[in-house]
Amino acid sequence: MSSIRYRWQRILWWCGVVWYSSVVCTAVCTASICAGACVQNVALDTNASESSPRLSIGFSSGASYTLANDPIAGIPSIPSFPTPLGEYRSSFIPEFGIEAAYRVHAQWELGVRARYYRAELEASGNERVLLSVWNPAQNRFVPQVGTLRNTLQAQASVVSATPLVRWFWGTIFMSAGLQVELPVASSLRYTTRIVAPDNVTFVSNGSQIIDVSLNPEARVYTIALSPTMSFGVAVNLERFRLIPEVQIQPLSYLLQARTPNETALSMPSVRLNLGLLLNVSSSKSVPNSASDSSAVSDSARNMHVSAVVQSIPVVDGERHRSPREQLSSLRPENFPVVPVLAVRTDTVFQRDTVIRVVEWSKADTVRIERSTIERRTVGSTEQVIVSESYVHDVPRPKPLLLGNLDIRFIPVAGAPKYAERRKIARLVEERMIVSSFLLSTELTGMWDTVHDTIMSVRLPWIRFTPSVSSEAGVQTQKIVIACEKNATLAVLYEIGTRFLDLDAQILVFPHILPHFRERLKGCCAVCCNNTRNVRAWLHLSDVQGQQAYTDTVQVIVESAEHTLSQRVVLTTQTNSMLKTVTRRWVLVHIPLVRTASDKHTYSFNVQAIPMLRQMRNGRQLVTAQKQRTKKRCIVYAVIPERLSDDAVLLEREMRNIRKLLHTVGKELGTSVELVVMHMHDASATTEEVYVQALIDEAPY
Amino acid sequence: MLEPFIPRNLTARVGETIEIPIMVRRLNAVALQSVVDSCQFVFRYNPTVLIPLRPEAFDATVLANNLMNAPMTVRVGRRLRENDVIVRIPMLVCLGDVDTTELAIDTPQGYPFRIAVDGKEYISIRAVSGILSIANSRWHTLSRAVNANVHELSMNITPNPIQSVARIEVHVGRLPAPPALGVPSIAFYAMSGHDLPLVGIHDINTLLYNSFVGRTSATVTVVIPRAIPRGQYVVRFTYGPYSVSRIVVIE
Repeated sequence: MSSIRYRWQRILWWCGVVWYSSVVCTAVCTASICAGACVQNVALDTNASESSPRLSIGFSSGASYTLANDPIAGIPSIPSFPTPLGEYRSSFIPEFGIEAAYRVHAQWELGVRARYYRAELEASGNERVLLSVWNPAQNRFVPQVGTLRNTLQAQASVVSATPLVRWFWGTIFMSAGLQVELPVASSLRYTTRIVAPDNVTFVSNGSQIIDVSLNPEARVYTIALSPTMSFGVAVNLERFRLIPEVQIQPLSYLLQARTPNETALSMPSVRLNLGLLLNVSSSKSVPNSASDSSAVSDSARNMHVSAVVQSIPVVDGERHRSPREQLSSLRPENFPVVPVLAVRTDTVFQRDTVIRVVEWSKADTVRIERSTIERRTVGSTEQVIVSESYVHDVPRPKPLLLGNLDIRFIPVAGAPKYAERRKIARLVEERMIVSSFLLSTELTGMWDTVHDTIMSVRLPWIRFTPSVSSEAGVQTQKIVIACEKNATLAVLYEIGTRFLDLDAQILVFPHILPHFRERLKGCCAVCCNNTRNVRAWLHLSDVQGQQAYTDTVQVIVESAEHTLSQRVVLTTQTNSMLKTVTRRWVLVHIPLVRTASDKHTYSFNVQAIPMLRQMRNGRQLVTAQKQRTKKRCIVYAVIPERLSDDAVLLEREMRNIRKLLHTVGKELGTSVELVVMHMHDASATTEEVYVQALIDEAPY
Repeated sequence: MLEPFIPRNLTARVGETIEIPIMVRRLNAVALQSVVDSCQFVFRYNPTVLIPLRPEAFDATVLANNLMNAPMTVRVGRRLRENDVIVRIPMLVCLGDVDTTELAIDTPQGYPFRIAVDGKEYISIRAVSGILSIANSRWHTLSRAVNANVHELSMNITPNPIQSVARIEVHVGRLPAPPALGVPSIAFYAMSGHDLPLVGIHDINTLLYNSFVGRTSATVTVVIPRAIPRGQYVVRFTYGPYSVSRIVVIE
């Protein structure tokens, strides 16, 4: 019942609309005809009543082409589209109708035209979306740009009525009218298709396209009033008139859509129309022959002249002259000149839009930058020029900047890839004894040795393999190796764009002096803090200033104090192209602690020294190693500024340090070279003197 | 004591960067006077929808049960007040296989939210997860969620609509047979965004795993309880980083 009631309501509604439109059209036509008749009465003599106006009726058909330009952002009762639909696919749409014309003046006539056509619109727009795609090479999800194509297909059956007026110049005429369009049925479809990448499908249906019919209750089409203008030719064929014309409909709001600027969408159209009208009644002034050059277009002048001729008194001698001969004696200058009193106002809109691609902008924005209104008078026409300048900011997508840092253990530096290992469980080889040397300043050259036991470790070579892809171009890339939870991260390596991989050894150590890092660069990485895990990541920046970090790779150090082992989890297959010179090294850290008493005690700890792994007892170093290896130890002694100001104190400290290093070099079988440096690091403890030694060792 | 939470009304558009806040509320008097040293928790998110912009903030990332599990340790070192933000996690929003995803920090999955207060040991507390809606992943009445990591996976669900029993047949194609890439799993998701398994998911996955090991296809039968509200659901089959989803209707 409700559907029947609904159907009757719709029928009554359409009847009301048609009736209302008919009334409006009739009123407009009646008013026009009355106005035309009044004008005719003014323009013609009283004898003009003898020339009856001409009525023509007939058919018209043609084809229209939509010239929509602005993108569609949305339509009522439906949310805004994901992207503006600005690509139109138009075609010529056939139209059929009937037409009636009524000649009310020699130069112009009134008419009305009713048509039926099926309006079609197809608008599309590409939408760029970001997808999270698994990349097996990088072993992670990475963003990838995809493209969705959204298409709106709207159709409607439309009945239109157009009252119009035609103005003739000879056979050529121009017409203007007001078109009333009534949609009687409409449909709306929406399609979303995945254009790229190929292997992506929608969850809802498992395919790459979603094609749905939208809510039929949505009032997509509405009753629209729009002006029309046409140019054409009227050709008389006996009792018929053939009227080919080109009609322009500059504004049409039949489709209730809005643009991204929140303005109503206008769809101008061009129409090619051909009318065939039957002349129902004819006037005396219309020439009989189509060969007459004036034809219908001259009818205005003929009607006027006919009236004048009939008002001229005929003399006896001229009784034999035909009216045509009398006409030839007349001149246009003899006609009264009617002054032009009306002032026409033309409004010209000038709109220009500057489209700018703006970086780091998130939204697509349009703003008006300048608006001026200028008035000028040209002859009898007042011209109003409205100039508006818009700026359309289009956000530029951020360029892709991705990187990956791969880590593997390798037996030696520069080892080929088949020697890479995914995992190293433990590197502890055997328990060893390490001595701590204690030096008293008062006991010159005398050592107290405190023996301790730690687990011997074999420091692994770790291969860092970075891979970087940047859309804009890589500016910098750094491998950052740092301690976990350390606020001040030590950037140890900066690598160039052509860098392939880096072999490094990581030693967990309390302090690293800046100059020491320089010497270690390219060979091994050293990280501070002796109880934390080691983390590494790749820090990237591109030429546009965008920065990115890769996933953090963690090297877990289990209890670095006594049981040192390292392991990593990961990684993927990579190539090693860099041949690093194999270099063994020893890092000695000597905190020289000055106690509160005058008896200064210095302790010397050796940690994680691969050279010493065979050391069994405190001072008994391996003599065989001494014989095979020639070592040179460069020791950097960093002196706090406070100590350097006190020359006496400094001399005493340095003397003690030299003695200490002499003993150390003797123990290790190296030649010791001492370099004294002043420490300006404000964060360092001024009560401590640090000595670090780097011992170069020839290959075994 | 206090309750960490993620807001449940977060909204973002595809392509945007969103900072997911982990906040605290319901602080009692003791919590207001205590210094929270640090907290440890596992942040779980849908990797097809979100990509972390600061992955180094995570201690690790492990893909399990359709979600990326990212353990985090956040140092706080201060007193907290109501609605204070502990940490913000920057993520890149993508068009994934769901319109709405859960941002989980709660404990049902077995990962407690732990905090250390006043230099003491970690204690486990209750946390509330949040929900993120992807604004332009759904348009009008259409779900535009996509499968971008399908690879060669396939899933057939018969019948659809489901009345009480559904037969789910899954294939991994030419991928190595489970568990080479991980444990395969099937999950039901409500269209409202809760990434919570609905019914007997552990039983389903145990059954699936037992019939899947060493083979490239498996079939499981799911019984839908009557307590499940009728409507549309997303069924997702995940194997390692790949997943395939289907929308089913439960009548």
